[in-house]
Amino acid sequence: MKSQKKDRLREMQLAFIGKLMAGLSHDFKNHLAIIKELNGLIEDLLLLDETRQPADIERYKKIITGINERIAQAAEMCRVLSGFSHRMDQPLSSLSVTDVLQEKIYLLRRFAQQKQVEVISSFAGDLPAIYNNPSLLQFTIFCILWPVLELMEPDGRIVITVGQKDESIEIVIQCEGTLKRLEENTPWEDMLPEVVHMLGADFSRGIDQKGNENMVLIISSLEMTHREATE
Amino acid sequence: MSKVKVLVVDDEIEFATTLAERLNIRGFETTCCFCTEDALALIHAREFPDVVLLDLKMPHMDGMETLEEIKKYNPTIEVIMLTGHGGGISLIGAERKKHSPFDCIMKPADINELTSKINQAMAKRQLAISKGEGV
Repeated sequence: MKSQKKDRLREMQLAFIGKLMAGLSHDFKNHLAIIKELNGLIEDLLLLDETRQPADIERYKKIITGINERIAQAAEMCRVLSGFSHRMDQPLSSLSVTDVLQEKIYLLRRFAQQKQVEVISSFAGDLPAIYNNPSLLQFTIFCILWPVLELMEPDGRIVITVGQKDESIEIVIQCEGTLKRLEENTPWEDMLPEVVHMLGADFSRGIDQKGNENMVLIISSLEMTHREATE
Repeated sequence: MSKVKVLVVDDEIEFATTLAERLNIRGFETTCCFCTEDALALIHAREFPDVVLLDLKMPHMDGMETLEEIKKYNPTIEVIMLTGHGGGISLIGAERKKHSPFDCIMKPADINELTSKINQAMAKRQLAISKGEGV
């Protein structure tokens, strides 16, 4: 009972962060929508103004296009952040591994750029949905990818491939480049076996013929594989 | 040919008024309401718009409830939801409700996409009217 209460508390902590983040991203979108309409109105009025010189119009249109491009980029960030935040709404739900991974890769993009590490991903089409804990899957993927980003030398490459293997979803992470070796594991690596177990998944790592580290996470697409739900 | 009458319902006043001005420039006849109560009062007074652009998240009454109220008065009025919420119609659960919006457009919206959807919604309304549906 005590453990159930602890689990519930942890779920509610996540849900609370998720709700606030989702609300914030919603507000950002509203501001962006207003900026976009105001920018659009400037363009409309400019095009209606027959006294303007064509050269002026072109210059203003270029500025307006630049603003619109930035709005589109910020709106995409809000969309991803909103999706990421809503993953914390439910402790168990049907979800797309592709969507969760795409969100996570997008959110880690900035850190990868700072580390000069390229992240490449490919997803098989028509992958079945899995029934599991969405935020736990996010966290598992983070526990795998974050240490790689921290330890990889510049100009490395992380290749993520997602496909189906029998009734499971297989995520293969190939680390092309040199990984720094530390005397101790990062806290994320230490946490990984436990979160993989809770997710009801299997995780393995090995070195390929080229000397690159490969990691494989296999999650069953069958319902109720999540160990917290069954135990 | 008479102008398509559009009602913009959004509590973000600057968004609603700017969008209305842009739609007017494009040949629509646009009115704004900044709360659902005013929008419903307008419709109750039989000032029927052809298409309503309705913000999903509004104080007091949310977009889906307002949609139900609008459709009660005149089922031929088409409603396009505007939302900052990711996931579109499936996420707002519209498919489980008695009435569905014509479409659900994510904010910030593209004006060309929006005008195209308004014209499509208007075509649907005209078809319904020609079949004798509505009030």
